[in-house]
Parts: sequence; structure tokens; C-alpha cells
Amino acid sequence: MTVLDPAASRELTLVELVDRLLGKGVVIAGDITLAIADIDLVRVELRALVASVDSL
Amino acid sequence: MIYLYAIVDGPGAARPPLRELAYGDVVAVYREMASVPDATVESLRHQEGVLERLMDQHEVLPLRFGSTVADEDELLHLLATRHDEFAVSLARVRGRVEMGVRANAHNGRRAAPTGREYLARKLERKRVAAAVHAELAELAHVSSMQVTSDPGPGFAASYLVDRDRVADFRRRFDSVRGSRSDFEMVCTGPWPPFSFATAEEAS
Repeated sequence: MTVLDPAASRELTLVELVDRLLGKGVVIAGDITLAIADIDLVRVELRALVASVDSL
Repeated sequence: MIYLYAIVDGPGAARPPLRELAYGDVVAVYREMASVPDATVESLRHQEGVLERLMDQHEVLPLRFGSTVADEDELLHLLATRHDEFAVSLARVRGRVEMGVRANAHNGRRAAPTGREYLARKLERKRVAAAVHAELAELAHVSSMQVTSDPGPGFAASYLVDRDRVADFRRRFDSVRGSRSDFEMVCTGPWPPFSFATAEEAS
């Protein structure tokens, strides 16, 4: 049986959210405010946030 | 400025401050905003909450976070030019929701000691990903799977599942996860059909 790591599960779940909201869904040509580079930055920020929450 | 949340399959979905604009049977749900919200965990969760409430009563095609048009004229033009595409996509997701599965290898954060070991791990991950995906895809109408490197080596998959088979899907996931102690694995959803909202993603 797998022993679940709550912090790792939380991070995976958050990545699920970020990838869907920022990386998928219907795109309206030319009107996406977040460029690809911005999305990468957001991911890095969110990762940092997850890490800081986990360390509390 | 108009901030767009979703395309839905009929009127009556939007509660203030949300508004809606219909073009035939295709309806856009939006909100007037002064500026696009920053992409933070809070704002992403808020948007997901809006979409999930819409999902309770309608079929939903979620828009990418940060989607805007200038005004109602521009929105109407968008609906008119892409009406048929949206109608087809709404029909594809009718009665269905998206489930997500994401897995990370437990050994993924430690560098492989040798090149041979690195390749062996990579092949093993691909093999496990394919096996897990095959079992879960049996319960889905459409599915997709990618090998990932973020946040660590693993894989991520999406499944378009009948709303009334979500519990079956979760049970199948639990049974698959129970046999895979080498992976940290989560099952998420039901999501609006982010991964199946456009024809090319669903094919």
C-alpha cells in the first residue's frame, strides 16, 4: 500500500490546478494576457508558495 | 473590459456580478473588470470556483485564465465567428466531466547514480505510465497522457468521464494507486473539461 505524503500530494494537486487554468481551456486568439514566459514565472512562484507553506 | 470565464450551453447560469451574452444556443459568461487579476493561487482557485458553480447546471467550456475582450461587440463577434466550434465542443462534453491523475516517481528527486540507471528509470516510468493510463482510460470517452518533468519525473493524464461514473473512476484510481508504491499519485476533479475544450486537444 502506498504511504501518502501530504505535502507531495498537495503540491501535485496544486500543479493540476495551475496547469489547467493557465495551460488549457479555450483560447481567444491574441487576447491571452499571460504570455508563455509569464506562465512559467507563475509556476515558479506557485512552487515557491507551496514550498513555504510546507515548511511552516 | 470584459473578462471571460466560460462558454456554456444555455442561459440562466450567471449570477451577479457575472453576466451572460447569448448567440443562439451558445452563451458566454463574463464579468466587467478594470484589469486582469494577477495569476495567484487565490485568483486561480477563485476562477475554478466560478467554473464549478457553472458546471452544476450547465455544460461548460472553460476559457484560459486571463482571457479578455474589449466590449460586448467584440464578444458577440467572437461568439458569432466561433459558434459552430463551441457548439460541437459543448456536445462532446455533454454529461461528462474531466478527471485528472498526476504521478511523481518517489525516486525522481534523487539523481540517478549512472547513465544506465537514469535510462532504466526513464523507461520504467514510461512503462508504468502506460499501464496506469490504460486501466483508467477504460472508463473514459476521451483521454490524454503526458510524461512530465515538473515538479519531478512522472506523468499527468486527463480523462473525459461521464458525470455518473466519477465514483467508479475514483475507485479504479484507488485500486491502481494501491499497486504502485513507487509513485506519489493524486486523482483530481471533477474539473470543467479543460483538456477537452477544443477539438485538437480532444482528438
